[in-house]
Amino acid sequence: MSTTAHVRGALVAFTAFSMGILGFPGLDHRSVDWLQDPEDRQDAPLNALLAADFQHHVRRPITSALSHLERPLRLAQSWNLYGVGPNRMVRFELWVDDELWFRAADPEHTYRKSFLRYRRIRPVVVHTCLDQSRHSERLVELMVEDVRAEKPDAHEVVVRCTSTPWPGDGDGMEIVRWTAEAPTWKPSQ
Amino acid sequence: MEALPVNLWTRWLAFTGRPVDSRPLRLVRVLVPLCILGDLLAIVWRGAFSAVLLPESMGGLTDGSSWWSLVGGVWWGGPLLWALCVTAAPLVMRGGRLGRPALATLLVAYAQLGHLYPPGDRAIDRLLRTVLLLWLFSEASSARPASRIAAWPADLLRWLLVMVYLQAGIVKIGAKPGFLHLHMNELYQILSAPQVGRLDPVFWEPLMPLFFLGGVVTMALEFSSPLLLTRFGPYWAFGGVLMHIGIAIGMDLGMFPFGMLALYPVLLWPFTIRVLDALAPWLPESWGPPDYSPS
Repeated sequence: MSTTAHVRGALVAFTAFSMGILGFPGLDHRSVDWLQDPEDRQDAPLNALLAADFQHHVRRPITSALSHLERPLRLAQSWNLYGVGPNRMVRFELWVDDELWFRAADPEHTYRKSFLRYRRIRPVVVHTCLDQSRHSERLVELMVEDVRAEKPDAHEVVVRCTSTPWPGDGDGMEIVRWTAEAPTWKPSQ
Repeated sequence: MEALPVNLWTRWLAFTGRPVDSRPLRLVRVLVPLCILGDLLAIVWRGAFSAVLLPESMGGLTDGSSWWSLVGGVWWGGPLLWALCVTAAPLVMRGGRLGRPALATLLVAYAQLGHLYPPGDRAIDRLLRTVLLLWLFSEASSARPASRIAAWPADLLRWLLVMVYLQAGIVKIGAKPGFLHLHMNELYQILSAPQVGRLDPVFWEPLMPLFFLGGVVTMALEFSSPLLLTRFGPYWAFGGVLMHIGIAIGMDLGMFPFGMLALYPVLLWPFTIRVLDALAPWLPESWGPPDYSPS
């Protein structure tokens, strides 16, 4: 075997090991301190305790070291998809002078729908309704700029989110409200 | 007994270096950049160019101030990275002498786009970058790939996807309300969620047992994903294809289902080769069946 073959074999083994430890199924969504509190451990089953100790004492130091390799190319990924479903239907809405311009999943009010549903914008929209990311205010400012370009004589823009039980056919309860008014157009909650 | 580790290592080297038909790997090299290209063009036609690529002072959503961002804070940083990616992707697909340098450029510029605008850098972007990184070192990306090349990129891709699907399945066990819930199924909620789903929640609510069945099939598929590492993998992959087509139809997730499907030529290995053999008369000569005759 050539030196190249040995180097290749070693690198493939390292990569496979890294992938296995970084994406270890069943542990990737657990915190590093999962079941480390003595009170939590009392009633935990043995297999969970073993997994938690493996997570804390073996996986954590390795993933911590490997994260330095992942960061420059942003390779770290999580596939904890849909662990908690949306227990209520939350809708993003845009109102201009008391007129509804956009409402999520409403085929009659679709202003800037393509933009707001785009996969790179959607996380900001969702966070605006659920937990107010630091980009939320900026999204509201963007919507205000768009509306003013579309309707220069507008007086008030409201971005709000409503929540209804499934299947969401009733009036929603308002959970978030941003208002921007002329002449300052500064969004406020 | 002392020879055992050496034998294992020799077998490992033989396994990772075993020659296989290069065409499925080259097909992934074409399809992954194609998906990235489509998604980057979607930034324009979805009207998100300034929101995603420009700094806050010029209409952007973020200031791109990540420590790793090389061009954060300058107005031309985002457009430059976008232009680099859009230029490099077709070169990667075309291959040849510029193929590998273009692949390295695409990988770095695409990662920089993620640093510039973190909210839009999703798991699929990271998965595709991981694949680009593997392919950067693969013979499938060389200037003139041989018809038979080392199999290790295909093995690592299968291994990676087993991790992805298994984790996605395990999380669903403790999901609330759950994919196996008969009265308010989580699959129903996802497919009719206002921001991402395409189904009308009121119309589909009485058909909840359908979503229960869908949840059972999805979880069964995800938990059986280790089959990808066996000779049954190509048959499993048909289920995966159907699942991702279902996601593409039921949800507005942009590149995600297509990015995943771009990896499937490797998972569907023998079938991919059969299709390429059948299409050989209409394809360039380099995409023809490998020559097995002794040289």
